[in-house]
Amino acid sequence: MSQHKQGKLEAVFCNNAVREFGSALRRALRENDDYASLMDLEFAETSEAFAEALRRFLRRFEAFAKRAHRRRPSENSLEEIACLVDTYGVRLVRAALISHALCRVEREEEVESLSGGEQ
Amino acid sequence: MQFFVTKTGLDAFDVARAWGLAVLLNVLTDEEVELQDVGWAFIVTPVKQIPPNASLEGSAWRTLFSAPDVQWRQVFLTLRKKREKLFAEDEVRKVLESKWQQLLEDLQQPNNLVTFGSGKTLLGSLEPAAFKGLRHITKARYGEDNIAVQDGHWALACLGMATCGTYRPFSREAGQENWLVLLPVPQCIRFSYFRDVQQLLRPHLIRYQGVQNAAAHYAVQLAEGLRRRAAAQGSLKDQFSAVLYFTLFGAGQQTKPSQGSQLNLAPLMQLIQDDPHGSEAVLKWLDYCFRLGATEGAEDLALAATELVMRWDLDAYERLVRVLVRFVAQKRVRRENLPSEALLRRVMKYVAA
Repeated sequence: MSQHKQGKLEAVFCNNAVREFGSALRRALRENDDYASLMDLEFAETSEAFAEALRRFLRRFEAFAKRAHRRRPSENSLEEIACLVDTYGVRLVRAALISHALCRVEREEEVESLSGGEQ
Repeated sequence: MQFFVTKTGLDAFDVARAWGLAVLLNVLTDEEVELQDVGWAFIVTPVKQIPPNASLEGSAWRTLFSAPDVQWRQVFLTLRKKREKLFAEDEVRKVLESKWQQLLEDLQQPNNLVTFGSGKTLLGSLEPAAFKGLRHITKARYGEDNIAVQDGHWALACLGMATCGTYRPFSREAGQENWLVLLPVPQCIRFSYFRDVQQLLRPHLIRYQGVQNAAAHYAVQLAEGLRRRAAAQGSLKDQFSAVLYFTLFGAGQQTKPSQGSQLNLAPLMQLIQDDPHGSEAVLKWLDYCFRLGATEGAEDLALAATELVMRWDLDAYERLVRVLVRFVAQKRVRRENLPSEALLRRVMKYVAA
């Protein structure tokens, strides 16, 4: 466990774009039972497959966000995620994304995201 | 006054002797004993000198042979004859009572050596690597002598295993019991009373998916015990480097040792050392993963948590979060049992990416 490598996962996890997508994935999983997106992400090995998995996730999320008035991840975040995948690789970004999906969020944050509306 | 348990290469035997010597010196001095791993040997240092009139007759010594939590019966599980099993414990007592002065004198020499070839048979329940014979069925004839060792060292190892080792029934196969054996390897600890150590070394074990799974959960519970002490004392004073584990299985007439290895405790020790209070949530979460993994249908979670505790790398971490997030999606995890962002960030610090 070399020291300089240890911070990578945490750095990706703390990235705002990853946080935004992670929180969307969390909502999709818990409120929309979007198990398929999780499977897509898990099976993505290359950056192309990962981009495809994200595309499918966003498509599914769009319908749910409209119905439940949820905030969608921004285009800038999507671009940043693509850059992160190029820099750190799929596994690291995927692990960070799924970690966000696993996280417990504070009640206020949940309420806030409910009233977030469409963006 | 320092005593040296020079290493023989038989890991469990060496660690058991170190624990045994710590218990013996603790009884003789009635005071704390320091136990340190220096690579080539374990150095055992009693805080107080052994008094000139010291003897192995007091109640502390008698307790070791009468208390039900000292696992003498399990130490001699691999003996075949019932009669041998009954008297083996007395044999240990007799050897130590008659030879402790000579033994301690020898152990004060840094170049003391353990000689193999004569003396007492090194039991499979003490050291799986020393057990003779084949571990599989063969049609060929096969014969070899038992590995024997000097009786003083044998008795120390038996004492160490009986007091500080953990033997637990693990599973049943063909009507015979399989046992799980766990022994923590001390890095630098202070040993005050064998029951204090037992409290730390004998945590509650649950249903497991394999020996590695059991060892990993044991490691997490041991770490939690150490964390509590570290939080109370301000810093981590007692450190362990690994947990040795192996299984004993019923093979018809005799119980024999089977698979085993050791689990590196360095990441868990580092986690506690960095923040004894902050690490509580991480250890609780890992413990929760093991407990949920022990329920039916959650076996993959138990194995994923085991992998993380054993390897602390990105693959293992990712596998654990992937498996757990599926449980979340299936609404099998209550909100309060979900990890917070801060907790996951703390875990990530120790994950080699």
